[in-house]
Amino acid sequence: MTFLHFVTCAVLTYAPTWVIYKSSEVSEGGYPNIVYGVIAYALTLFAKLLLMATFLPPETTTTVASSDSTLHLRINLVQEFVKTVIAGLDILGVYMIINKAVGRNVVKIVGIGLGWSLGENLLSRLIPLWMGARGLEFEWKHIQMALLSNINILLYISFASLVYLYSRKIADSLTRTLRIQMAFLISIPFIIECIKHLFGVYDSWTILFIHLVLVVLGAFISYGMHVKYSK
Amino acid sequence: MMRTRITLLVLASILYLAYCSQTFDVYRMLQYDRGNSQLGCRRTTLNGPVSHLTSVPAGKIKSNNTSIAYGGESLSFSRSTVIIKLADLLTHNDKSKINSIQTLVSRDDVTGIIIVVPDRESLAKENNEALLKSFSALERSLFLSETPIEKPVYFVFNNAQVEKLCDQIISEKGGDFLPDSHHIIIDASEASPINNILLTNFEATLRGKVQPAPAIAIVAHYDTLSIVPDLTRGLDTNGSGAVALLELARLFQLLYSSASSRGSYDLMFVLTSGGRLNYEGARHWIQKLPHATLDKLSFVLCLESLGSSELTMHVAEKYAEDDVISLLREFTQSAQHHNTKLEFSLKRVDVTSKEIAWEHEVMSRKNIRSATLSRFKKPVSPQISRSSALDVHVDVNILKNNIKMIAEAIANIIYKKESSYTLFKEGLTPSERFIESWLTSFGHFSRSIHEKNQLLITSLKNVLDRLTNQVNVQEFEPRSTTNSIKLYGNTKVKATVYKVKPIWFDLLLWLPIVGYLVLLHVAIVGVSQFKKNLSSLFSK
Repeated sequence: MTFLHFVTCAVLTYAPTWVIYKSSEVSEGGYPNIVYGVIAYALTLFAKLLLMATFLPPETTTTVASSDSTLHLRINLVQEFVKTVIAGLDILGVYMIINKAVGRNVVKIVGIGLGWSLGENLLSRLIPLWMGARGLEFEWKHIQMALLSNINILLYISFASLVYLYSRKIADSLTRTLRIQMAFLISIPFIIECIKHLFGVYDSWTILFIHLVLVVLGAFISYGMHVKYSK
Repeated sequence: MMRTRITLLVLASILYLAYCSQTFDVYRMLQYDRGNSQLGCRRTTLNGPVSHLTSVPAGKIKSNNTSIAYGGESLSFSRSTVIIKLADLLTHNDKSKINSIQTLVSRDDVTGIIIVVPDRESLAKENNEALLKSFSALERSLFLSETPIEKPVYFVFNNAQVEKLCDQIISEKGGDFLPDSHHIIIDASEASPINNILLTNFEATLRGKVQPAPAIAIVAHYDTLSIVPDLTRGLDTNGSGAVALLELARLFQLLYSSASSRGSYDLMFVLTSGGRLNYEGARHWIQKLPHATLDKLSFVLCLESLGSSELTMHVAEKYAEDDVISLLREFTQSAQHHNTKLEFSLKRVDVTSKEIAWEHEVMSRKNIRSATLSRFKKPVSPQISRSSALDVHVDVNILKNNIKMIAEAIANIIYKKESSYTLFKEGLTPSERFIESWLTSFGHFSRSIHEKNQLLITSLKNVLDRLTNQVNVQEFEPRSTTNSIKLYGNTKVKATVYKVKPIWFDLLLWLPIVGYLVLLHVAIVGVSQFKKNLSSLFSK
């Protein structure tokens, strides 16, 4: 039963990547983009961990502060903000490979987006899934994690499209809006963290839903900009 | 430094999936061998679903398997472990309640039993006499049963965590769609026999005025055993006797410390071990006693379970002589003084019997005048069932009164009535604080035979040493006879309960997942292309 649950979660995590790959033009010679995406994700993750280990205090110091709730909240949000700034490295990571990618615009963007999310699924989700979903205790969080990975595919594809536009350097005014838009996508985890603490929303399903809404919003804006400027 | 931080971060990202299963201590039912017969609970491991059994009022037995009726045909556990509250177990079916554990165990669809017992605080506070009485009847029936229990039987204290778990298990039976179910794992290895049980006796002496002096010995066994070894406190059986002995030692030490009030008798205070192993400790003590001491031993008083204001003095029939009767008359008088109901019971010592009924019979067999003072009117047989696992409460005032009664009677014997009453009226009374503190500490740790409690041994030795300055500690192994008892380990283990979903939960999850994937495909390639793809799938 538990192994079956692991299979269920794994399918929900990985199958959409494969379906999108197979259904889109990426499957017609776009696979190097996926490989680039995975490699770039791995390198960026390493750099991010390095920076986080340097700038963020170890976990233990935050638990000490938990006696004072407002102080704890402030430290928590500050930490999340630092994490968000560090997550800005993602832009650099995607920027480095977006021009090495092969194929048409769509193949580049979707390929890199898929590769990036595949990298995340492999490096950050596979082990927790393997360790957790096979456990005897049933928890919804593994299903939620799989659903989150689906939402993130959309997030990374729209992110890749923004970086692509940015690398084309079409117009100064566009560059400014692109920067704001990219900052929005990167800071989605930070926004959610703020909502969590400020409004006291801790239910995991609600948070997942907020995440979905934010990502869909970001994706719509990105798509609009892409349609307008990519020609 | 940096590297450790990175490792920590990576570890933290992996370990955030800490399980939220529940783990708690469970106490296994006694497993023992008597001679060659294997008795008690013979199994340890459990791995399977859990059901909760609640009492269903008679006549309200429903036929669907979600409501569980005890003993009825409708009962169905589908091979699961049954968790049941003690009160429910005992009130289920009045006709067969004595056998209720055996009835449950004999069912094929029950893999194990977990019995939730009330915690010690509520047992001491509330008036649970009916519950305790029927539970000790159940315990005795388990000890009398000659068939081993081939399924694990565990006991667990009721606390907030267990209460919540029971509620969760009950609620899973509701009409919820795809309800959670619970799965228990007790991963304990096969229990092995405890081979080197070491018993310890303590013998403290207060010397009389003129040596050689006749001696009076007060004997109480301090260790115990019950159907659930690790829950055993035996506060009344025989914690009360041991505490009474310590308090008597303290009182007479006060009298014997000044030369003027020192009595003409030697007083011996003997805490014996092996009280549930056919009084092995008493037997060892009397055997190792020097002949000189044995000759001047004029009376041995054994104390067993004094937590009641109705006591019985058990005397061997052959000592119904005048001098013994005059000795015992002192107790009758003292009992009248203290409003204690004291009866006498004469019993012939059956030398052929394998089981010794009372501790004094060990002495009687050696022709020493002796008696046992106890709240039990008749010997509880088998001897091993004398302590209840839920014996956790003794009324301090009753015990104090009984101690005072005994102290006066002994003082009357020692001082030949000269001044004893005045002695005890002048402020020499049992100390409630002393009695209460010993009862409290006896309530805190187990005095079960199955494991040596070094703290208990040290503290008993220290207190007797402080009181009398003359403590003789005897350590010995119980004799192994054809009928001797061998105890097994694994008396306290960890149980983990997991919340699980039934297998068809995952199978049902596949429906929306496949639907979602197909939709994704259609959304990307368009409906017409999807139709083409679909037909090409079948044309091959």
